[in-house]
Amino acid sequence: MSTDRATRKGLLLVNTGNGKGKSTAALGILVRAAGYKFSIGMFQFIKSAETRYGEHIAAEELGIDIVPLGDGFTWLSDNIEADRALAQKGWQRVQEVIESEQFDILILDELTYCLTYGWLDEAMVLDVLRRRPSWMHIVVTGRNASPALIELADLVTEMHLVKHPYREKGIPAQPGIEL
Amino acid sequence: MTHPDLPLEDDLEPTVELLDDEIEPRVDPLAAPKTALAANGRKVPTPKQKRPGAYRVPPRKDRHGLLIVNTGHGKGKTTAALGVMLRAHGRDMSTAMYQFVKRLGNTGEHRTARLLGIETVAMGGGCTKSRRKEDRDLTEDRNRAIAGWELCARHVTEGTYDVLILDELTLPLKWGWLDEADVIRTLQERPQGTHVIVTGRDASQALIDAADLVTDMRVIKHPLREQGIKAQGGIDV
Repeated sequence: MSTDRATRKGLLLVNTGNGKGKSTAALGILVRAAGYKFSIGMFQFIKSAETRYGEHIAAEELGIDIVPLGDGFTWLSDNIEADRALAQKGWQRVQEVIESEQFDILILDELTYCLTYGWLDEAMVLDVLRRRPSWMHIVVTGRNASPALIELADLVTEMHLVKHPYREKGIPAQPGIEL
Repeated sequence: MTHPDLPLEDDLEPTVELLDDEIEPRVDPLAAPKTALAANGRKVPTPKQKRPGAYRVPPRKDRHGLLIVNTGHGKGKTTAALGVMLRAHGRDMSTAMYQFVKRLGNTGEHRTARLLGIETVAMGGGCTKSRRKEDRDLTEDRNRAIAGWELCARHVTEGTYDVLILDELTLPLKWGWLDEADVIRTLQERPQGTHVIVTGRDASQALIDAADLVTDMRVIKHPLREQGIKAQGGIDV
């Protein structure tokens, strides 16, 4: 079984596109990996610490902590500097957990926004991702993944929206499906 | 009937050697503590949860039951359905996954589902690609799909689950093993407030028309294609 660090080929996965399924598919990997007792870390940019969706509750049951990096603050505030500081503080934490080698699989949910908005220096972020241990899988999600990120990644999927109940019928997000 | 040459996700299945270990019984950390009695014989009040508890899911009559289709040739169809399964479980909704074509019932997702007490059933006979190439008899696979659909149709019609995943259902539809009009009618006539997720490549236009939410997973890059890296535990299986 290729769950052993010595024989594993660590992948950089990117789930991007405008459709549903980017974060959800990352959660699916969490479900799979939990079955093999991998150590899994999931850090959520953009989402605030008050966020407590179905996945937080269920992951806790599996002994996995999904960490919203909002730290009680609101992302996308009027203050760009505050958002940038929050992103950088979050990234600091991510860098530390990569270096500590504690996780087999690390999910960086909505990281692409921090790059799109220029809160984090892309070259620096990509360099940290490139220098991760050879066995470590990292999943990055979010819209508008940049060409440089796609270039570095091993597996890239574009979730393309064909039909969405909010767009078509005005049906809002529902617990258990979107949150 | 001839089938186009499709590399299915479960082409990758023989590369893992699955362990057959025992899984510990489910422990629910969010369950309310058993009522304890204080020294004076009075009930000790249940402590309030520090973190916010489960968000109240509205009753089925107030829900918008969705028919969700995850299609395309990219990774993420089944995986995203598993993510919804996790969410639904976290909301205390009943959920299950029935897999067509797929044969392995002990992959990462099945193990986790067992831990969480979620029913996941692999009903297929495995990948048909190489057997199709060799022009082998697929009658048993077809019969498995038909029997599998009978079981699933019953769950859909009875509304057994709040969120039901019909993994790879598009394949037996595409191969003409199931009557598509019948399948779509059954899905459309499901009870109010129940969600069904169908996954698999090449969803037909009729299925897309019937669905509320459709995502096409497109391959931009794949490690098998570009680097010859095979399926790995925790990622693909």
